[in-house]
Amino acid sequence: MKRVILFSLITAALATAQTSKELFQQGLVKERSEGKLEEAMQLYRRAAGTAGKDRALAAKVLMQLAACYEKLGNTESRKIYERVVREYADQTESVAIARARMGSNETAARPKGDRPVWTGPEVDMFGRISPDGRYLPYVDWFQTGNLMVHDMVTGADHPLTKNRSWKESTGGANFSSISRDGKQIVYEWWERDGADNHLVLAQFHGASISEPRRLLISPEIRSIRPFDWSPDDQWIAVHLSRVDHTSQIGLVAVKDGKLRVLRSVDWRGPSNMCFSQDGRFVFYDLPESNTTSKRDIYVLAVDGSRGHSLVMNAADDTLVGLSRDGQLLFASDRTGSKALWSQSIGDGTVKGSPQMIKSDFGSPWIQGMTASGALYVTKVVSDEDVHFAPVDLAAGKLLATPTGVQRFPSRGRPAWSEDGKFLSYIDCGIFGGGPCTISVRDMETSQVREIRPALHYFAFPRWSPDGGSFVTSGTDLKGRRGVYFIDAATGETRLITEQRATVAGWAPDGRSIFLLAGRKLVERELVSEKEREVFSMVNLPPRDQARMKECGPLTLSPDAKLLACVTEQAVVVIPTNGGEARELLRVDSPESLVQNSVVSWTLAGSAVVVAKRLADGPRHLGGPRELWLVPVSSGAPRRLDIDTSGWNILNPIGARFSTDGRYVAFMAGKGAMEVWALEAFLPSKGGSY
Amino acid sequence: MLLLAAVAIPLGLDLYLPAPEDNPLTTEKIALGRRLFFDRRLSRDRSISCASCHDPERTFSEPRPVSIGVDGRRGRRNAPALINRGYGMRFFWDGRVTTLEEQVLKPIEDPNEMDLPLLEAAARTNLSSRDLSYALASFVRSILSGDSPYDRFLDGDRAALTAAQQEGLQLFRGKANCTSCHVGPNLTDESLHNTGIAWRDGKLLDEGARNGMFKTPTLREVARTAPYMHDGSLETLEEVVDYYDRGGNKNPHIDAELRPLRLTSKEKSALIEFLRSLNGRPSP
Repeated sequence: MKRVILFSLITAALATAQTSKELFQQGLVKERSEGKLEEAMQLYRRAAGTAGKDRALAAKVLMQLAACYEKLGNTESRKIYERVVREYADQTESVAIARARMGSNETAARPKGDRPVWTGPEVDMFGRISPDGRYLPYVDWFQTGNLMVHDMVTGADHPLTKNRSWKESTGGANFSSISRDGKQIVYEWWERDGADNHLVLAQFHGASISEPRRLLISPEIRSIRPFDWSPDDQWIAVHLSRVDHTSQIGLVAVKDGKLRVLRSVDWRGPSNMCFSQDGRFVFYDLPESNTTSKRDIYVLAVDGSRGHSLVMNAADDTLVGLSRDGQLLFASDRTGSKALWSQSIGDGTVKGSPQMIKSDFGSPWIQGMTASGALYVTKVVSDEDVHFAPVDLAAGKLLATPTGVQRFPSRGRPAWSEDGKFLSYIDCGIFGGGPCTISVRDMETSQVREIRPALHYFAFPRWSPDGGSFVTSGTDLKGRRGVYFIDAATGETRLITEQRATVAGWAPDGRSIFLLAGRKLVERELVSEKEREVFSMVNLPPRDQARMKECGPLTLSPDAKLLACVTEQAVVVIPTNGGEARELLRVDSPESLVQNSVVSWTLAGSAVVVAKRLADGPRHLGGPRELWLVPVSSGAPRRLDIDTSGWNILNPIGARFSTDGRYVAFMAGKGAMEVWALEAFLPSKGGSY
Repeated sequence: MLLLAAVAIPLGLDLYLPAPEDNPLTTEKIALGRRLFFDRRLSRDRSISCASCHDPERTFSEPRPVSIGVDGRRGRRNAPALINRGYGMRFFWDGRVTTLEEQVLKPIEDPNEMDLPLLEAAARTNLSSRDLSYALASFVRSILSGDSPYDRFLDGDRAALTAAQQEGLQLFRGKANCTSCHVGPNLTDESLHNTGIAWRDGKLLDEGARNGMFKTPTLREVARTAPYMHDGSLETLEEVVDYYDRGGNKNPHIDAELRPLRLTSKEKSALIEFLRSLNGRPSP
């Protein structure tokens, strides 16, 4: 799909005079698909020179050019960032990223080897760098679920597995790791039905794999995350998650897939594991207990004969890896902020005191180390924030410029209390994996308070009608999925049901909630725990059943009488009491509707607001969109005169309008991940830190 | 089965068997510890040994609800099965001790148990109290149970459990909510919980760690280690399952995991069948 689009862009550019936009697109093709950085930079320079009054494009082009300079380790990038900040102050997204990059990388001062090497929407944290530093596997989360590999030299991306699309696939890739000799790759493959997750071993040829075979499969294992390969490439250090949600540290034999469980732990898991240089030990980190996220670092002999803590401290200590000269590298906030430390070790024990070797390390995701000692990490560069604004839905306009909550939360997922007096949003950590907190903003006083439910992760807390609590699907601290009740005042959390269901909404009296499991809507009383089926797809006429299959998730109206559903081309409502489905809005291709997981009901349940895409294109890249107010019973749908450029509404929640229709909240800003190569950071190797 | 220098690790248990740096497992210490474990000289009147309450024939547990010490003195709690305690993180029902080395000496000194000052125990055995502790701890550490039908099932032998046991396993992990505490290879989270068993009619009979909290015991060999709970108050697995099925004894501090399970009789039977599959091959 991506290739087809890029090819189309190229032919279109040749057929017409080359505008700056076309030059920019050609540059992207050169840079991302062909890996021709210098040629891409020439195109970007030409595009920047011809952008003229299109300041948004000009800023975007300059940012791309600066990123290319960074890939080359060229400090010219800083000058361009400074230019963006100086000359394009009106381009707030570009300016924010430019500032972030200048602030985080200190381009002019840092040594050549410390640089971003890959930026883009595809960047994830699921692969480990190949020992030669050339390849970084990742997952194509947007289109196919394939295991991919990014070639750091050419910039090209190659699928390694054969999914044709998400729709046609039964599963996808997960974490992966390339062998020390660079000739094999191991990756986890998950199945959509939740069964038979397994570890696959394949021969790795750079742009392709061959001879994939299941190395380890067990219905008793929920996930198997491969980390490091032993120096002789005979063993792979893995983290197993069992069906009882507990974790194990183990080794998998490359020869026959035999599992050697070294240590079982409770619901905690390592963020990183690596072998000692002689292959006799495995280093790993774990949270100090199951009630804290602060980690310590441990070692286990691969024959199980020894095990103990290596770095134990009240601070958060996370394993980074082993340097070329065998020193243990770890990140620690023992001095207040996260720094990179080294610790001499020998025979599995520490020697002497740790030394700080880089003070501004931050909390990046570790993606492994190369044979030459380069450390690869992924950083989040984001100014993404929850914004809100008063709105006049009758006039279809915003009444004020949106305000950011200045929290930069991951996930965000804003939600309004029923009376519109409170705005909640969630933060699930830098990389979005939890633990999550809920922030509640009092719209009258602007005071924000934080709620910490006893949950590790949750999807989207729904306010109760009285504003006193939330319900959400999520996972608790023991990794168990379910639907949970959260007291909005105390954060006290309790399980409502272990059903794998999503919360469709509350009953107006707050005494029960509605759950969607599959295509059934069930009402569950909170006190008596009694359930009754309210609605089932199987009872619909065949025509409606077919239509509902194209729907995104169903969303219940505030009065619990209607379910709203958005297909790619239509907004449909269906009565929960069994009446016929009605189409409220239809759009024609190439226009389409954004299928958020939760449709925004507003104006006391008399209308929904949906987003319409004006042009086809890769879903994750956005494109122009409009918001449409779609009345349920009377009146025609109408476009809202609201400029949504810069709004991130392609996420599960989209733009949320309060029930009374007075406010809208949404995510905006840029959230990007960058892979960085850190080199020459050890003092003994002549580094600058 | 994997062999370490001094002990064989049965299927299903971690290869790494924790031991303090200053008390590594050796065959010599395990042998000495075994002799001491059966040595009645470690009680004041030379009437009982560790094995009197931790009977190897009953997988190192005892059939009485509470232990009887010297002079017929009654202890407060049921003697737990000494199975896989090498993997333990806290010891005694109330978890008041965090090392086996410390734990093994306590019953010797306890007036209701062996009632012998440590110095006297050391003198009688011509050992230092440290050697006593290290040897006994090493022996206890070597008592392992694994390679049960459950372990073989997890290892890929899907015929190792009967259909009823497999149904019981599903309940164990699901509706019966057992895995909220009984998890991992040793089927315990090594944590403290208030299941209500120390509460009767609103009264707290045993403070435990706090407000009636006790450590989760392993379920390894559970079918061979009746009676159950910290006070030995439940005589059969059926009684235990019934107890949890009704959500435990209500009290102000009851663990949030306790709730009525609404198991059918067939489900209860399946669950018990599964618990019987946890009988392994104890060593030594």
